[in-house]
Amino acid sequence: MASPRDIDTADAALTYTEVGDDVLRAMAPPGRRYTATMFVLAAAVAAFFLAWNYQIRMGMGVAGISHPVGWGVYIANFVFWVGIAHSGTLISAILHLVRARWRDSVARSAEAMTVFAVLTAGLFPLIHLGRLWVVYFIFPYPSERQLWPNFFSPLVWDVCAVSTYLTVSVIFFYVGMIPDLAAARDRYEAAFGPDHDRSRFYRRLALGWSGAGNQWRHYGRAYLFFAALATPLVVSVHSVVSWDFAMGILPGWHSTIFAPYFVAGAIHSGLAMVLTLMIPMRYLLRLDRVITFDHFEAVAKTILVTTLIVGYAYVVEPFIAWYSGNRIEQQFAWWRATGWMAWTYWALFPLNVFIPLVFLWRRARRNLRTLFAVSIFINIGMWLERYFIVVGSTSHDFLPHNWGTYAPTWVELTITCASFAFFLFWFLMFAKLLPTVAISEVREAVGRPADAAPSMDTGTSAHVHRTAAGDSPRGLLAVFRQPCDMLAALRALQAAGHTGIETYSPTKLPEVDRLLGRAHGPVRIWTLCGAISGFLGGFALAIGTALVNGSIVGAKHPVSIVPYCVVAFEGTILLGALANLIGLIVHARLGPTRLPDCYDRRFSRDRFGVFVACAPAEAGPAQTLLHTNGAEEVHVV
Amino acid sequence: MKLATKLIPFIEPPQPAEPGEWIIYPTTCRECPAGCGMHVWHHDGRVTKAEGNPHHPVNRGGLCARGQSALQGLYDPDRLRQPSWRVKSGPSTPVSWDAALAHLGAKLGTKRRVTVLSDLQTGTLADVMQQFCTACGARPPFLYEPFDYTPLRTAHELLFGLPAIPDYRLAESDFVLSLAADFLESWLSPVALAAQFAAMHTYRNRDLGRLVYVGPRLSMTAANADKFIQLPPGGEQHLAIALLRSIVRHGWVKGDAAEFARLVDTLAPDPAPLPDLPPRAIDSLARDFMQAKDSVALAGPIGASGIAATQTALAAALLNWAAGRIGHTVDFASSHALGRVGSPADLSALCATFGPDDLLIVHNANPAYAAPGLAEQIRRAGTIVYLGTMNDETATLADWVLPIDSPLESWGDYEPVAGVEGILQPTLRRLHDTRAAGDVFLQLADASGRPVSRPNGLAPPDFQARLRHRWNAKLAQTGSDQTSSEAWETALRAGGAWQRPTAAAPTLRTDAVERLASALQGAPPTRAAAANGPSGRDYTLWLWPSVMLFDGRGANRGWLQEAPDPTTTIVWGSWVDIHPDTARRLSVRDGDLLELANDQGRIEAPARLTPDIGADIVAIAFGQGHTALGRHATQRGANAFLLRHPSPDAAGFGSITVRKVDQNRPVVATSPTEDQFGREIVQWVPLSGLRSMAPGDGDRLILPLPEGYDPKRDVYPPHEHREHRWAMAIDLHRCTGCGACAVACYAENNIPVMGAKEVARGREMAWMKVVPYRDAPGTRLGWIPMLCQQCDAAPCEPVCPVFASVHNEEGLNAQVYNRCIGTRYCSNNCPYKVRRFNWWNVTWDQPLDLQLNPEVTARSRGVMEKCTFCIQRIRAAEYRARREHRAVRDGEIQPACAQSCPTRALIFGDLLVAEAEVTLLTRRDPRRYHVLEELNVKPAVTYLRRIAIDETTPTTDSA
Repeated sequence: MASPRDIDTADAALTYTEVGDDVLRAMAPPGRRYTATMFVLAAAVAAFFLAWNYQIRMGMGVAGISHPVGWGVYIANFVFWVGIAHSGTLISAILHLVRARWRDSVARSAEAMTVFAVLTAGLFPLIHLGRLWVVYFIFPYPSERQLWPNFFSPLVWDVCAVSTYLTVSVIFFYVGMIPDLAAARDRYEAAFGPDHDRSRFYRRLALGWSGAGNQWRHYGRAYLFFAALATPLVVSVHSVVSWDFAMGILPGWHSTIFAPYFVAGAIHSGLAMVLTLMIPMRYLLRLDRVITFDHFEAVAKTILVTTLIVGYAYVVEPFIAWYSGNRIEQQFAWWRATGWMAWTYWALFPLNVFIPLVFLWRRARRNLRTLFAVSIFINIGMWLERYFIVVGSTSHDFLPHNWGTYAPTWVELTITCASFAFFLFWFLMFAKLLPTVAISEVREAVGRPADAAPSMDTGTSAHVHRTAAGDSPRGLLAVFRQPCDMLAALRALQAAGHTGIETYSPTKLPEVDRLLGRAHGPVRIWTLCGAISGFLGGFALAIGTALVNGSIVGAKHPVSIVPYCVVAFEGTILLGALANLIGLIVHARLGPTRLPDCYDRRFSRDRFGVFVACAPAEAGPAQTLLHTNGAEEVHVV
Repeated sequence: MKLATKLIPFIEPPQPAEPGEWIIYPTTCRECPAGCGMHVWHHDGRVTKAEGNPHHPVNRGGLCARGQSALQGLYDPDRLRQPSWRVKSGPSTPVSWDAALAHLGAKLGTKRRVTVLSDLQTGTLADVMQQFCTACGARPPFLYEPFDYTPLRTAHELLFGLPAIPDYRLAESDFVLSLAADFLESWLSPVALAAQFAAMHTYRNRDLGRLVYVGPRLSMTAANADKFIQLPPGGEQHLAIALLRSIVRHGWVKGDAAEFARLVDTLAPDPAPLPDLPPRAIDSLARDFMQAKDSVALAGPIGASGIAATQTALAAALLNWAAGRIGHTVDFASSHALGRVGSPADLSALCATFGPDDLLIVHNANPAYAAPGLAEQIRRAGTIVYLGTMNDETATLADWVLPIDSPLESWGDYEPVAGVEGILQPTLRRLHDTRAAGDVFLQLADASGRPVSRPNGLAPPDFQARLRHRWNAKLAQTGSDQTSSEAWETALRAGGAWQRPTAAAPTLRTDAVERLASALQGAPPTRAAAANGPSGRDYTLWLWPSVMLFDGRGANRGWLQEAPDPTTTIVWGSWVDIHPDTARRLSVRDGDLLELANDQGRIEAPARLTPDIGADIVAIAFGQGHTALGRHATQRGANAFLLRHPSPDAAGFGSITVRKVDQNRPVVATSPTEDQFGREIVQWVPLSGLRSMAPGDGDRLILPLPEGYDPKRDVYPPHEHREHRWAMAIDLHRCTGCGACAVACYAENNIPVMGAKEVARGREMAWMKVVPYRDAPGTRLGWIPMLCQQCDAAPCEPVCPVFASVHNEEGLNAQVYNRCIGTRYCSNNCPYKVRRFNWWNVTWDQPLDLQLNPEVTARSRGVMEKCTFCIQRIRAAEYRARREHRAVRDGEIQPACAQSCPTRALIFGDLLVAEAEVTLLTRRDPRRYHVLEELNVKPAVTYLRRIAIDETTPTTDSA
């Protein structure tokens, strides 16, 4: 691995081309080692499903769960994987909103991690169900018996939250990737021709992205709204997961600190998993220049914050137990520290708090081995924490005659271990198939070519090419090497009274909208409408259900607004995000894979283009204008 | 046709069955000699539930776990199904009844010496066996029970000239002294005595009766006592003698004091000291006993024999006599049938005579298991014919095995107590190719060419007809104006006929002293018995029968194996109780395997370390360790009968060596601890405190009614129940811990038996558990029947994502099995943990599936299940009331648990009815409380505290 010395300077010389090439090179056809690894993982995934199948056929008795420990490692795994899923969106969305630019290099992998971790997490509630075959009872679907799910139940909140999170994460992941997919498309079309399988694959996925100024305009707004919707979602999802426990009545579960405690813990473990995955990936995919030690250090600093929150929660729990004056809580806190699970309890402090505190030292934050080792410790520690919370409270509750113990069986262990294989399988698939770093955003971060390197003469004089022979020309396309030249040309064109100007760029150039006088655009209206209808729809669904069922549970009135806020919230986010996506697709005209005639593949790599619609008569002055402003090439199209 | 009969039982139903309707057959329980009345529920050709007959004078509606398990005995998959025959120790070959009868008849005809050994029988079957023996020229049938009461009978013979076991009227007494007699579990007639104990132990007129228990082990009865005096085996005898001497010294005798003093001197010329008990305490106890309005002393332990046990029985009888209780609480007029049982000494003598020329007929008894020392002698008999229902140890010895009807398939009669004659009637058609035992005897006699003589020369030949004939004659004597068939119908519907016989109370024999002196000749001095035993071995043995397994005859029944032992909650196995100090000396830890050996035999069982047993004593229960019998019983646990000496010369059960043979072989217990950790789950109220309380005083409960709403505590507004709000009140003071309710719940609600392995993982399916907890010092046990509390603000309900757990309109916490997807969240969130999850698809070994209640939904794997106060019974009562255009009456609905309770500790009813018993108890009883009231879940089960006799009351100031 690289020594600390060469890292500090690594991205200084990085150019647009290098960013794109470094990232896209990683997508080269896999080697033998990769294929072998995938086979091993696929075998583990097969074992996962065989073990699950066995459990479905025989009954939950094959697992170690029992009375009173109704939830075991399955739920611990669920909470763990949902936690892992958190940092992806945290890095992507929250850091996007606060303009923390270090996020760009790690955001894509983190988002991928989110998606695959949610996929993995989502399996566990299914695995732990006694009757998987009627799982659809939990979804709000119209049935002839008018039986709807219970929107009081934290498990239904879970379904809403996790499915919303998965949907929004997938959309966010995919939308963020569209420009990079276009870059991949252009790269493979250039290399293998447009009919190659890879070209087709990425052409489909790129949804006709051309990097046109109009697309960038809507895209930028939509992405901002995705980030804005995803941010509260990140915070809410693990809060909802924590309410699975906090809404319970058991000592050790029934606690108001659980939501922030779980969210912090989720980010803690998620960031650790980012490190665990990125350090080897950076090495294996040779992304040293894109992902630098500055990025790792920023992650490590964030881990320090979550370490302190988690540590605080650990201290507060026994304190509150003592302070409550509740004998059962006090005895439970004491039992945690002394009972048969005490080893887990005492392992949590070093693994999750003391060891991560080494990040107080800069040297530790910038040493790959330390970073990797600490991330592994945190991963183990956070899994144990979830295991401890799930099993501890259920095994030692109110009436001593019900107390019990728990030990996972081979079925549970197989499924637990293989869930890591399941996750890695998808992640490795991603690493080879999709751009692992957000190219367009890193390009913004590394600075434009004009700032990064002096404008170089290509050695070729400007030419006018005629491309579309036969047709009457519709306009001119100028290709620029540097965005400042392009912007200058744009200003000149506007001054000359040209309309029908479109720009093409590998990354978003905010000045373009200003120069062209474009407003923020209508996507926000879509998003707002979606969010409002989601909010109202959430309440309508819950209240309507309550009125149809009319059942009383836990002496609560069937129509109770407070618990239904969770449903309304998830509805707001889900429909807001979906409407946002539709708005983007409609206004940026995404979907058809055909690109504009004037599109040049280099626009997704390192060139900037300006298209001016003009009659043949006006072409001459416009050409001159473009040439004088530094256009490399001008084409009549 | 064949398929149709399989699908629809009884297309042409036998009279008076109507398809889909319940019929209740009154009959008599024959699971032990107590002879309780039973109501057996019949539905479409099969019986599903055995309950106590509320009108029967013995049990008054209650029925113990063993009685209820009669159904599993009937449907036992390991039952004998056809006659078989084998050459000595060879493989057995099925034969037809005709062939068997012909062969055996021929054998009987060859003037062999014939012996009939039967379990305790009275009435028609006893007559038939007697006549059979007469016809064969044999001696009278030997009535055998593993637990004989010979010491009691001998003592009464010596003192009163009555070789009888009296009826002890606990209900009429206010002070019971139990000398290691576990009368709540196994002694004499446990259901009857438990009900009587509850009656005398009830708080009324600001006081309650007292129970003092003397013995080495905290048994269930001891734990229910107001005072438990823990003394080593034999201590009960010494204490009784000390009491007698104290009575003599103080001149408290109600009768001939001089004669009494002579008797006491003869009984114990050299009384042993009682180092643990100061003389003041003994005097005080003697005074309490003598000054009580009506007191009674009961002599145990059950299963003990020999001269020392007789001395205890004598001491108890003398105590009763001195206090003037003979004829009052000790009623010889209603003597118990157990007085007819042969003594162990007689059995030994009988078995010693067996030789190749003997033909031994064993009926329904298992001496090869319960008297293993005699198995070899029994085997010497030339031909052994076994008449029984199970392939037990004795059946495996037999040459001919003739399967007989289960008592639930038979006609018969049984008179447990003089004057109480119960009728047995078939409750369903025979399941297998079996015959009534009485018919087998008659047919054997016919086949031998020496038919049993017919009374009047007219009676029809078969057993059922003889029974009718006998009853016609009996009923004719009552002088009612009914025709004989009407009288028979009446008796049949009642379950029998009863009147209380009267007889003059016996008086002390004039030659009692002389007889006593000669009987006790050769008895070791009582002083020696208190030491470690004559053979100088290290430890004293204590054997006891458990409330579930008794003498082991029901050990193949899943319900009894899986029902937790009341004091230890151990299931599916044997264990040895050993004091922690003793264990330390032996370096034995909890769960280590111990070997117990004496000159009778040796057994192995895991240790349970507990101060419930005295130092240097090891205790083990009877009932396990079968070498035959069936799938659940065979090779499970240890057979304590192997250690029982037929006539030990020391008190109790003699001495024994103890050795550790293996480590870490723990027993399975359903409760990991009996410690309450200060959580006040089972609560006691001191009697002094209770006396100062008026009805309505006490805890202000948060009731599961709109009035339980408090804006300071509750977020959500109150909600109404329009018609009913079902609730239960459980009087912990009446609960003796016997576990009958939990087994009734298994029977009623199709709860599967999971087996030792699953129970060890906490997966027993009991909807209701009777949980023992200790008080703060840890010396006293209290039981709490823990079932679904049907909370108003039930924590289980809102967490269910699919409304499988919902509150119904009558306040019940309903579970919709078909809706359940198995998240188990409800169970996690239940503070009482009374929900059970189906970890597997359950299968019932055929024909045990015939027992399933068709009115209770089957549950598949992956589904949560729970108690709903027997909603099927609630619905049935509601429909009945609606058809009859009336309201449901208070007490009309009895959930299975409440119905079976021998002490009526569980009261079910509607909280919306102001005068309902449950409402009065819930609102007014000063002892009321809720478990985990602070959680504000508003449970509908209200518990009434146990009453602790505290310092100010006379009994305990003696300590």
